[in-house]
Amino acid sequence: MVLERELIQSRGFRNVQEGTDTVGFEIALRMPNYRGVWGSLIDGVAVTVDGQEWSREVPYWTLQGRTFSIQELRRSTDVRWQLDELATVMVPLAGGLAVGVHDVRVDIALHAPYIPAEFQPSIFTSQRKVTVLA
Amino acid sequence: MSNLKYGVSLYSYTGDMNTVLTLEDAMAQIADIGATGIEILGEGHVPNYPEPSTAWIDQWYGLLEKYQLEPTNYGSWIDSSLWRHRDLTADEGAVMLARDLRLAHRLGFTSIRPKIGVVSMDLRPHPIWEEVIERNLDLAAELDLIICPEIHAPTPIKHPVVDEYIEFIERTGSKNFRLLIDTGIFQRAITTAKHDGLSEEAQEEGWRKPLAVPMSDLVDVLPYVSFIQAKFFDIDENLVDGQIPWREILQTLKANNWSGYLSSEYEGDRLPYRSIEQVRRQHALLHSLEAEIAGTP
Repeated sequence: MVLERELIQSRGFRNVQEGTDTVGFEIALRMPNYRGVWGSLIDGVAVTVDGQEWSREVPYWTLQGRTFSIQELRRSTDVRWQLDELATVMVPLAGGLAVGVHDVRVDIALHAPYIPAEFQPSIFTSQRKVTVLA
Repeated sequence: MSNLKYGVSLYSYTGDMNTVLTLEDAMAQIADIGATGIEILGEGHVPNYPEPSTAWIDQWYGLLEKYQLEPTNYGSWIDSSLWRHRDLTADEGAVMLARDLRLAHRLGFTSIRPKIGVVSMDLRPHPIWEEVIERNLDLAAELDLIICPEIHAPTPIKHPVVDEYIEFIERTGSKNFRLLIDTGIFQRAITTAKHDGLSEEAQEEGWRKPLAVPMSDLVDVLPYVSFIQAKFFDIDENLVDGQIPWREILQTLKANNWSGYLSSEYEGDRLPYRSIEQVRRQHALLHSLEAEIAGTP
């Protein structure tokens, strides 16, 4: 399936329910790098929605059908973020986001071991307006 | 007699792959410009890497046949700092390279470029490199694959990293370890092309700085060179490349009877479809220069 050019995908932006409670929201992201990477090379993603920020330590990651905290992902050995697969990041937020258009920014941090440690991680930034339907 | 062959690395289409180009679209583009070789990045272009489905492998071979392309070089990585809390061991690195050698062979490649993690600002490879490669030389020979680390800016040819690789070739006597030259080392003028993810500091420290390696240095190592990544950033409407001295590069290769692949690596601005047009321009430029050089008495 063809992915949207923007790193932040339109589809997949939604609130997350747990039972009858809305516990957060999800964003689907396209891999910003020119290759896919092992999950341990992902340093995290900082998320900003309408000016409210969450640091790299907060969002949960779902890759290849498995969900990790960022701390778990950094120590993982057998999961990848591929060029042709989306990552879903989940930000905990009681009540979730209001239905409608939101200004979303992500700063995705990835490690590239062939670039000196002084310049790591690489940060890929993307910002766009996307819509929550429910 | 020099025989230059032309190919394209799917790296050229970064950002366009999976968004505006499928694998088949990319192959059709490569075939349309008369190129015969396709280079891929294992971790980039093989779905479900490192374990592609047999259905995908069948599709890969079907497309190679349809577009009459031969697999050239397969890019792999030895991520020496895969985790925050410890380095990769030589054992793990050797397993990783063996896995890529087998996959590259399974997909029909004859060359593999491991990109090895670095431990210093002047890009010294992690010390495990030598053991990782040496333990795989027999497997590479068995699978008929040449392992070639790339000489890439900001590392010039006259550098201890390259000296170590050449010493390794001399010491082991292996025909399965050679050098890959990235033509970015010959860059003569600055580029304004934006490189996603790389900080301004890193770009200033050399990733975008003209290194201007002289052709005489290329001549010195050419007997060890098995593959060339034809890195470039921008070719204008008059087929002028303001950064990479293609005429001198082709003259040097021809004059020294070098044979092998020049595989396009477009690394300019990542606007949708731009890579397709830029690769076409590069091939038009290279073909006209080669014809011109051949016509020179």
